[in-house]
Amino acid sequence: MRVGLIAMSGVRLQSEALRELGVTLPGFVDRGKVIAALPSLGLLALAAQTPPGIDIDYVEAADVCSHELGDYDLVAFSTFTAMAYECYELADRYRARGVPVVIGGLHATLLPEEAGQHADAVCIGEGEPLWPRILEDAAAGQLRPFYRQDEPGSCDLAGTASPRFDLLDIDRYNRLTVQTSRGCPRDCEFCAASRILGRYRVKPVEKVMREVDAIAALWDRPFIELADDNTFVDRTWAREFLREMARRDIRWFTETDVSIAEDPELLDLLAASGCQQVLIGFESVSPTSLDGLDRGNWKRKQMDGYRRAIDAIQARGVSVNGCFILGLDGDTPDTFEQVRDFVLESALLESQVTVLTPFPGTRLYHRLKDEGRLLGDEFWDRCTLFDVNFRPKGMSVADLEQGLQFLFSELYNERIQARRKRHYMDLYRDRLGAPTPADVTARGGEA
Amino acid sequence: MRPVPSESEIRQLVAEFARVPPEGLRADVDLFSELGIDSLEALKLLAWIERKYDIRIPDHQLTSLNTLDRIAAFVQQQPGPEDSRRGGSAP
Ligand code: SF4
Repeated sequence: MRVGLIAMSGVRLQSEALRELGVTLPGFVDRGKVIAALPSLGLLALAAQTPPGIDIDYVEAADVCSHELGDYDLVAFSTFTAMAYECYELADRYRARGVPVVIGGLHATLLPEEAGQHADAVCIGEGEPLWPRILEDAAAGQLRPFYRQDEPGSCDLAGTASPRFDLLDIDRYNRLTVQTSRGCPRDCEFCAASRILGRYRVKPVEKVMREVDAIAALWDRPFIELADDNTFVDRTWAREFLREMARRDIRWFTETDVSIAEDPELLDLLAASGCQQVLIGFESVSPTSLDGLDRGNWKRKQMDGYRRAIDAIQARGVSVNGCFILGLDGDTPDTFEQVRDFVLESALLESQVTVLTPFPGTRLYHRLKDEGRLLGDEFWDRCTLFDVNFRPKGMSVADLEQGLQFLFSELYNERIQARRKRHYMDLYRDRLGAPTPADVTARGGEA
Repeated sequence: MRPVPSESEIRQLVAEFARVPPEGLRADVDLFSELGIDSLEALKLLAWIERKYDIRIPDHQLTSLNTLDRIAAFVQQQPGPEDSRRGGSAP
């Protein structure tokens, strides 16, 4: 049997104005390019769960129109919401050729009936435990319409096989991903990742390091992106992991919450571990906008310490990519300037501004639907984080769109980029001790 | 005045950041696109050079100092700590 694993890759943007702005602005495209160039870890994990004797082909479909159909006995797709329609289009083309199709991933898990209209089987939940059974049924010509994980999030990360990075054409990538945890206990209203695939779990450090070492064996200068929602929730695990990373010469990136800044020992370990950047969701700089964002109002309580946190992390040579969401219920037309001022004054080395996006299945989606504020029932191709899909509370849709464009042009330009770089360098320089050439470690670390 | 740093001293520094042998580092190679020093490491390298030679790189030159010969030429042209805009102690 020959199986095609097809990842819908790339970043989508519907707004013409932003598309035109975005592609010309330094600083905006960088993170988008990185995301677009990451392989699908979910499919590589399925490949690892595939029994010997079955041929596996891993393909990325960046452009549906130019995608040439492969010669397969079974095709499996993993997709995100913004690419769901494109995935369905491709799935329909395979099925028209008589090739059975399986669709899985977050979007299919949330809307299995919808995905089922374009697939012979839908994988609901985490793919690893379901995949061997799907393959068996496909080989016997007896695929069932739905395969549902008994208990969401019950997959033991210690027992999963390491992703098949060997299937990749490695020269096409500048980063590879490792997952160290799934889920996040914070439970933000808008977050599609935190709870849907189950409770928060970590992978044992020893297993993570096996995956890291497998990547390091492929490259001279490995750069790893952790495919986590919130990496350092478990501090005991985090310390063990960082100490292991420090023993290797690897540069890496991850997403975390701001609480790491309260833990100087952890920050020192982070700096020594080769971590280059952490992405932190600050979401807003207005207490009213942060109010009620997560169940415990945790982010609201952190806000006063944002600036200190950024300095504490960046002074150690780890840059911060700060994320802000526009269109929160407490936001008004003044919010855009407040965010701009905060980003510039705090001197985040990088920042990301996006619009609040009601992904299907989130608490946000259901609330906005109940309040009659969604601009349609189905807008998956507009779930890009840059297109507006709902009526904001404190401004009009047009205000929100224009505010986002304003922030794009204010934050992503050469002059501002240079200013941010200068501030980062000054912080880093102030922290350097008495210099000698021997102080320059292989990682460019601190004295 | 401090002594003008030699090209080989600067080469040594840059090579350690780029993780290549100093003798194999071509003076005109783009450190960031060809040798794979990412943008953050580039800033650390430049910050480190500023600190070591007690100089200050103008913001508009942060992206253009991308080869060993450009970095060396820039450092060698600098007047030295007592004239530098940033001031502070000698390295
Ligand atoms: S902290 Fe981040 S990952 Fe966790 S629930 Fe909130 S948005 Fe999601």
